[in-house]
Amino acid sequence: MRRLIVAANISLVLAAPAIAGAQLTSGLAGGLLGMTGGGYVTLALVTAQTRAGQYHFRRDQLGWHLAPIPLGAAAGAALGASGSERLLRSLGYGAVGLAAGSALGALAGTALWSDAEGTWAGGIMGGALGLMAGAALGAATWERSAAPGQPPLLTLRMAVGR
Amino acid sequence: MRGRALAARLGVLVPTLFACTATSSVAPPFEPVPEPRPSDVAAVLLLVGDAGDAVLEASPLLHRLRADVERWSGALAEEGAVAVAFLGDNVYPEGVRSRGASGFARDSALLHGQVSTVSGAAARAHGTRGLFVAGNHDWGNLPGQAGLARLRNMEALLTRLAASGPLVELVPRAGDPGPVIVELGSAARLVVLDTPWWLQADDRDPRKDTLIDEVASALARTDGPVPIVLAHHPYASGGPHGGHRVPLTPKWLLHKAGALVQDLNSRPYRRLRERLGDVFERAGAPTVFAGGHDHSLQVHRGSSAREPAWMLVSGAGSHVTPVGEAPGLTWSAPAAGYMSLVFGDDGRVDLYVIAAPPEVLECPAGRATTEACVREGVSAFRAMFSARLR
Repeated sequence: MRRLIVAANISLVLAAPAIAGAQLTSGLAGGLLGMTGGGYVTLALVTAQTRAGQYHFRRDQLGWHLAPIPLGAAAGAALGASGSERLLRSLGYGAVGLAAGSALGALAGTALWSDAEGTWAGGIMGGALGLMAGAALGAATWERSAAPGQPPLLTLRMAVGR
Repeated sequence: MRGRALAARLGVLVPTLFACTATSSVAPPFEPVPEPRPSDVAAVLLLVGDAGDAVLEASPLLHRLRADVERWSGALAEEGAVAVAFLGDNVYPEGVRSRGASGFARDSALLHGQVSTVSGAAARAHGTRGLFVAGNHDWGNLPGQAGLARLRNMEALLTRLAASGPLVELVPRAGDPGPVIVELGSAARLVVLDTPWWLQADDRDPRKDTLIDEVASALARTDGPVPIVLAHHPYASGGPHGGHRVPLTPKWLLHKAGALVQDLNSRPYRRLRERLGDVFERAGAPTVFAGGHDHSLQVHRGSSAREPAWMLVSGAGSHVTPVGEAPGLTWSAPAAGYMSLVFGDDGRVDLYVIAAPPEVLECPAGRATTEACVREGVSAFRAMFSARLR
């Protein structure tokens, strides 16, 4: 856990150059939200592994499963630093993705596994996928194409430095 | 305005969450069972679990248990009529580490504290046994050979302590999943399992079939002794491992998904209960299935042929955690304590739950007031529940 907190802090420090002035608050908020979202993805990874019959007997057996936490923190901080509007949009889309993914995942879990825990496992895994997809979609920016008749451009921009 | 609305919502939500998680106890009024005269008692089995953080000098519970062991051993004055089952998690946090490791001294002291409960004069004179059952922490919460090494360390330490007199042993032995059959005089037949082994072994491991078959043959014998199954993992629980967790927390979510291997609804644990349930239905259910694991005192009554007649959780030897509702839960308390099963000459079995408030669990060690605190703590223990089980 200590290593995880250190990693999350390093991520925030690395993202710090992008954070200035008024963007500091949204950057920090983004970092915290990203860390929380990453934590949820970690839960989903652990759940997925147990469905495959691999259980963790102690916390320090968690290794790569924890990677989403610092990654989420860094991505969230960078997103927040690039603008609170995008952060809020990412949060909104992420929440919708989480809800929709949880519902679909629960349905899939019920169909795949006969035990009651399967429904919850499916819900958690689906929710994490929905959360990631929604957050990424919310973080992306739509631009109307200059050329008539062309589809709009979907761009994902992230502040990584000044 | 919006802030007020949010505060109002939280005002409703927060107490609701706490209500869901609050320490609760199911303690309907009960008819106390008077303790039988020693002349009417054939054997006594004391059950204490998860005592692996109890330091002898500072634990009123260990002192009270020792006094009870001495009292019964002396009163029955019969070879091997009294036994104490230490129901796993005998050394926190990760079992007995290797000699030379920094934690070894502490690990040995913790085990020694429990051994001392069966080291008194009467206990030694009348062959009172200390049966140490493996818990997941005794395996170091480690699967495979690494965990087995921790268990071997515990076994070696118990063997060394036994050399100085007390009859203590690891049951089953390290590496043997069980069951080991221990006869308590002619009064009770103890069927002891290493359930942490089951949770980590592959479902196709043939030793699982052997274990199940041997439990079946032990229970199928109807030649007199009362069948009692002992394991670290309980058959039923209303504690955190049974799902009584703080809602919306990561552990709550993981429990719901069956992703916590130590919880009753994980696949390996459920499979263990299913297969034992098949055995109970086929060969006859034991009178009692006693485990620890959850840090509370619980008495569950079986409701079908697939369940033992009584399911006990005695895991409050050094920690206390809340208990919620559970089907069949007859009595429970988030309290420090242990249980005793008193087997009568006429085949009856009485249960006594000896408990005290959680604050009594530990006195501040190494102070001038420690001894007085322990003395006061010992006197706080009383029979909080009793029942005739058979």
